[in-house]
Amino acid sequence: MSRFPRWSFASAMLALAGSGVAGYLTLVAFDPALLVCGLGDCSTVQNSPYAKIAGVPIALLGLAMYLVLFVLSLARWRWWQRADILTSVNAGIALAGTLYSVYLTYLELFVIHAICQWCVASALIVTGLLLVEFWGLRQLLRTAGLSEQMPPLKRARRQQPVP
Amino acid sequence: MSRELPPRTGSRAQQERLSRRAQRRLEAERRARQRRLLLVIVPVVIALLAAGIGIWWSQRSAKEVAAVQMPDVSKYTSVSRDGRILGDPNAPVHVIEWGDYQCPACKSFEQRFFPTILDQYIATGKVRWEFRDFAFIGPESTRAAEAASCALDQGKFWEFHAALYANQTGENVGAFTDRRLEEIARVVGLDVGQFRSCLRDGTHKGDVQQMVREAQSLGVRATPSFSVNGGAPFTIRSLGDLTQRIEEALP
Repeated sequence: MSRFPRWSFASAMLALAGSGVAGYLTLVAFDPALLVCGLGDCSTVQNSPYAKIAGVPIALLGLAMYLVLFVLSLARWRWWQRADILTSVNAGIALAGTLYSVYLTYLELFVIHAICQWCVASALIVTGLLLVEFWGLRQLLRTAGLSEQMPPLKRARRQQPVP
Repeated sequence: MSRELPPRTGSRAQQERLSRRAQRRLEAERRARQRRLLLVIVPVVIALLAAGIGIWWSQRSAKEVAAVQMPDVSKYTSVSRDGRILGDPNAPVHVIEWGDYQCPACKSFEQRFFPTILDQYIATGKVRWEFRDFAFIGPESTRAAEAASCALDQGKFWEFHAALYANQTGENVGAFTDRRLEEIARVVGLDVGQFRSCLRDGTHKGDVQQMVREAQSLGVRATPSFSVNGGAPFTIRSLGDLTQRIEEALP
């Protein structure tokens, strides 16, 4: 495995894309005139009682989440020896984001009866992040177990040149 | 990922050293397993909690606005109207009502007495009725009055006016927070985006202040207060007090 595996790069890119989508929706929350919606009924979704929590647009919360994920991805490159902890944190954030997106998608489909392309995009991105981060965490923990103590004998033997 | 092999021990290493190594190895393995478990379980548990709290909060926050109701406003739409004025512009009697959207007596007047006035005097062309703000109970009164002016900009002053009273829940208890006002605008059928910027920019803040100052200088001290054909403001104890004044003013 290379020092910066592909999954960690993919995760950073997804977080960046998510920041773009959530950033755009945050702008729309403050200036509805900016809303461009090719598919679905975005303004119904944006104006629904669920679009804000205690007065804060959820798009802003989403933006904060993606930015944290992105910054932690960068931190993971900088401090790769701490990659396991950073990935664990990222996986947790992505899981919370995905669960909340499932809730929001449920609301769109069954309560608000309107769907918004940008919200669907965000839900897909955060689900992607969840998969990538947990996959990465699995990889890291698998190898971490080996680096900290002994490698299993079988593996050690296999590394010996075969006559 | 670096993966270093521990120094290999020769096959003739002492039995004792081996077992100590084995013990250490087991201990290290146990700790590593624990650590791995922690790195998976902790984020999962925290994420479940966070999502749960988020959903609970969202539901609570949505319930606050979901309770907003739209009253029947057909009585207002059936008569001619112009902004804050309801009824025939050439009607012989001009009545001004000063109200505060947070005032329970105003709500009671609006819902119990006003339909009668509307039927008997306004719809029949005898009275043109004007509503002016005397917002004095608290910041939410001012905000609601400003919001009503924003609705006026969209030609739905009376619908919004009725909806404000229908959604009055008490004085300064959050009935007319910006969020609830937006929701009221939504049920009334206003352009919510336009309404929101009107309210946010304080477009009618000055108008409301002006109206309140003017009322004070005219001698309004309580709500609802009335004035018939420009006379001194008065308050009423029953509907009869008001209809009597109107009847006296009718030619």
